[in-house]
Amino acid sequence: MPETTYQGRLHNLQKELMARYYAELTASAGGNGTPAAYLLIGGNPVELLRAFDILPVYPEVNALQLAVKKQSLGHIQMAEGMGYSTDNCAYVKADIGLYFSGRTTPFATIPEPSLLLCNYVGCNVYLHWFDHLAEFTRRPAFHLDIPFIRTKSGTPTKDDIDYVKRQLLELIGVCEQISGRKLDEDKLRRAVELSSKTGELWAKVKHLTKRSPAPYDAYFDSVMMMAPLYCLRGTEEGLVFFQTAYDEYQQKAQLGVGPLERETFRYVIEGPPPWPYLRVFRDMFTRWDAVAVASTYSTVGGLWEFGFAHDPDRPLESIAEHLLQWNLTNRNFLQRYDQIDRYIQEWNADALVIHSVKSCRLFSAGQGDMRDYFTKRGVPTLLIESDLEDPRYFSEAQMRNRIDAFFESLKHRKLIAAMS
Amino acid sequence: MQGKLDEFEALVFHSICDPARNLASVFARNFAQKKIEYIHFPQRIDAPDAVDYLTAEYERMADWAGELTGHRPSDEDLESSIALYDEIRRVIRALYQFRRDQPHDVSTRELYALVRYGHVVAPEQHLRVLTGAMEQLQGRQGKPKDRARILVVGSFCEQPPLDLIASIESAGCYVVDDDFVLGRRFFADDIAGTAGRPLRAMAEAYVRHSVDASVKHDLTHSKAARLVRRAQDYRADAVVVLTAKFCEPALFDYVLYRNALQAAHMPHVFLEFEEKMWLFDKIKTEIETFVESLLFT
Repeated sequence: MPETTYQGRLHNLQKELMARYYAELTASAGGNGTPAAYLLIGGNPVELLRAFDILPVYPEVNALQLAVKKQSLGHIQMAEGMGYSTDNCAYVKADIGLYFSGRTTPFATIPEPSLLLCNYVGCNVYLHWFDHLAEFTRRPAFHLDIPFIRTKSGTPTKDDIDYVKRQLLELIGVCEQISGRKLDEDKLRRAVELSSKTGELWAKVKHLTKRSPAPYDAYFDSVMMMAPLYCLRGTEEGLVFFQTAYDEYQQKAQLGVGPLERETFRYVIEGPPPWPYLRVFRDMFTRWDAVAVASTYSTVGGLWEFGFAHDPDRPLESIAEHLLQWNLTNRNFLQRYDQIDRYIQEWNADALVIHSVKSCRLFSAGQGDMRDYFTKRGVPTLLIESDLEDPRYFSEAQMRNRIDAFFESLKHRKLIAAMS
Repeated sequence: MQGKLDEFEALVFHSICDPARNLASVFARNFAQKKIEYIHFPQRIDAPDAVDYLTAEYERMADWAGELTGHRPSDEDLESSIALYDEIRRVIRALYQFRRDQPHDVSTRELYALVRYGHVVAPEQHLRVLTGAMEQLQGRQGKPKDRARILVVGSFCEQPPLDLIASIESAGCYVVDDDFVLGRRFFADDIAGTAGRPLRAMAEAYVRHSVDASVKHDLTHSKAARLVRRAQDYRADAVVVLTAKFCEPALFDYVLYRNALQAAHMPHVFLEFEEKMWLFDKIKTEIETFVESLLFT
């Protein structure tokens, strides 16, 4: 069986940078005076926070880290004891349980929020989540209302952009109160410039997997890169990380080196991973020499591979455009089909794997229709189910059987195609 | 896919929850012959420009309705429509007040059917029936029974079967308030100031006078605190949180409701239903047990 190992300086750099980031959170929790704002990954306006030196804290990232370290279940059960249903999003439950457990994790102590910034970008659960945090923490809360894309063209109207811009101006006023200083416009422009360059590099990194073999796995390795993308975007460190990522993967691409000894199957994958079983899940694909060449989950926080970049000359407009249009969550389901279609065509994928998660209806509601759509278009499509955070909903044997059967049939299909 | 929506040429969706939002796309793909539209209500009710934003959305919807029917509603059309629906809502509010004051003279099963009837008939007909019902109810002189006065919340979207509502009542309850068929009763007051600006008046009503709902987010006040006050004002003995299975907005709100009800020492119970359920013994037993527990505390 091909061995899955993390290697390269990129992984070590990620660990180093994230350790530093988490140390900042712990220091803020310890009362060093750095304000911290909780915000959400979907289309996040982290540039604005960075302009005020407000530490961005992502409850989703904390929740997934807990799951990866197999520490999510206790927090989930604590939340269920408070009345949360087994049908409520497990990210929320893990976060609420963490809050009421003292906010200490193996990787950091999470600070109390100076601001709860609910960037409502498509996901309705975000609103409930932050309503609850506002109730429990009694800290200032600001909902950033991002109108859902509802034009036939799939682009936001000028009215929507202006509506979001006006809210960003209000948010600046809130950040000025929290931080105790006026907005430094040069600092905002610099944060947006760094974000722009980071986004461009991330896009270039993503396009590298069009090659065969793909130099990295666009799901299992991408999720490693997502943490710096959200936590460090808009900073010099974030830019250094993505420059390193591009350099490393481009070198691998030029050498014709991939994450596996052999690349037999190329697939696109839709949906978040089962974080408590990340390694086990990855091995279910690598045993078939299958490499993910694109993933929709890696675009939740931003979609840069199709030409978008933040614009430091239009900082608020481009932040608004990012929030409205250039992320997965604020786009409608049919736009997601188009996105997956592009991946399959342009990234030359053999198949689509839909990992449907119990917790997340933004992803999972309608995935049956997605499977139907792509199957009828002749794309071999596998639909499997578990959860992104709750370890109780992962059946390893069943999952392995489904994945094995799928790749077995793909192998047969390739054989037939080769013979004819 | 069974053809039950064949007579509808168009459907309008709104982001009450993630499945509802995604459903708009699933419909658009599978029923390309139908016109699908989506409205995004403001999720910052207290934003300075929430009314401006929503007015623009209503204008967009009016344009769309005009394309659909060949006639964009004029201000006069809208004003008279608003007046008609305001009247309907006034009668419904009166019926709800009647039930609060005399729950022995009108069952929730009856009231529910009266309100929901509006889904399937023209509003003028609905108003006639509601008005007639109100007149008839004035003549009832039933005897109050020894039942628990309860608030039922959580069923604002997917609706419980009528027999379930009847089961709740027959288990020993008078429902003194609920959020059934909430869309028919979404405004607490008449939509005022419509002359020459009906869409703006509607936007103002949504932002300033719409009732609390699990699908509406308003950081200016606590829905849970208002629920407790409502229960106290209506002399409710208990609150029943009755939610559709898997309804995420309701399941989230339950946590905050539970905290507030416990803090206020207001008895409450949580129950789930499925729209297509047909056996009610279990849930009736649960309510009966709950009502008995009220008697002995």
